[in-house]
Amino acid sequence: MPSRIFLAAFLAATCLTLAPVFAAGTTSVDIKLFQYKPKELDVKKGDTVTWMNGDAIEHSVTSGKPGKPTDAFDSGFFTQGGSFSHTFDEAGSFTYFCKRHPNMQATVKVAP
Amino acid sequence: MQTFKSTLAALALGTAIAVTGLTGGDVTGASSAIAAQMQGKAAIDLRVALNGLLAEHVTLAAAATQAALRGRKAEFESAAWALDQNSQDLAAAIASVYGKDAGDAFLPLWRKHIGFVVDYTTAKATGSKKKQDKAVQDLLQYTQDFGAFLNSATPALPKDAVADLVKGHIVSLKEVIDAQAQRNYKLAFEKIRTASHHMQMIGDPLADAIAAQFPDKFAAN
Repeated sequence: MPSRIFLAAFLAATCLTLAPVFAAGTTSVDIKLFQYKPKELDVKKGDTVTWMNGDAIEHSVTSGKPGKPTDAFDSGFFTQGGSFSHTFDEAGSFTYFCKRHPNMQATVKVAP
Repeated sequence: MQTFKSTLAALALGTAIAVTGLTGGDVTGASSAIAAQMQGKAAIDLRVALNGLLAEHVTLAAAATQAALRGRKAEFESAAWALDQNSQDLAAAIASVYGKDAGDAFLPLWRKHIGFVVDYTTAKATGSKKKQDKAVQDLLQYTQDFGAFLNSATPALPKDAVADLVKGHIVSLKEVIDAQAQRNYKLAFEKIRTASHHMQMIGDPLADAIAAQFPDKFAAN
């Protein structure tokens, strides 16, 4: 009997510990050396992506393409150590770029 | 390109020590000479290759701006083509050290400042002070980008120190263009020499910092 209680307690503790991991839906993208890494990211609808700037210069995470931004999301400029998060509530393929460095481009693919 | 290929070969063979403590702000000819003595062949080859490419950049840029100022279209296009070949060689050198992605990111960044120099030259030829000022502002902002790029690749290179060195490159090249525009050719060639020599101020600390960052590739003999 004590072993069953112990097992139940262990499983409960394990579930509580792992819950945030599996509740997930959070992914990070590193901005480093004027690149978004990974350049192509697959997530699910409802997931949140966080971009973290490791360069000592301001970058943006702006949906669309250079010269043709969309209104899906736009971080504005943020510099080294800063971050920006966006939750993808719709499925689809979202390209984005940096407004200051238009050669920086990447894609988030959101599955239903 | 041949020089770059030699560098790649040297990288493959390289063994030795890293020379630390050299940053963009404190590199002089004397310390560079000492550093060179302490480095392995691969590191020295890298230094020579980078300095060669950077000096060539100045020479070809000056040829392009001179042709542009005189309205010699075919000559300008050929010079611009050669200049871009040089840019691609530099990007390949960066890629050989930091990886292909870094080389791919470097090339458009490097080309960007060449575009701004062309903007300045065109504005000089047409006498548009407003466009000249805009090009200078773009170039000054670019120094921050370039400093950030190299700092990200090699944290031992302080962003502001690199930015200052690149600013020196831009100022020295601007003086070349200004002299060319005035048809003061003696001064123009003096400034070309100064601008070429200045590139060593960028090439040396870059090569030294890379050697320190990647001791497995750049070891002492």
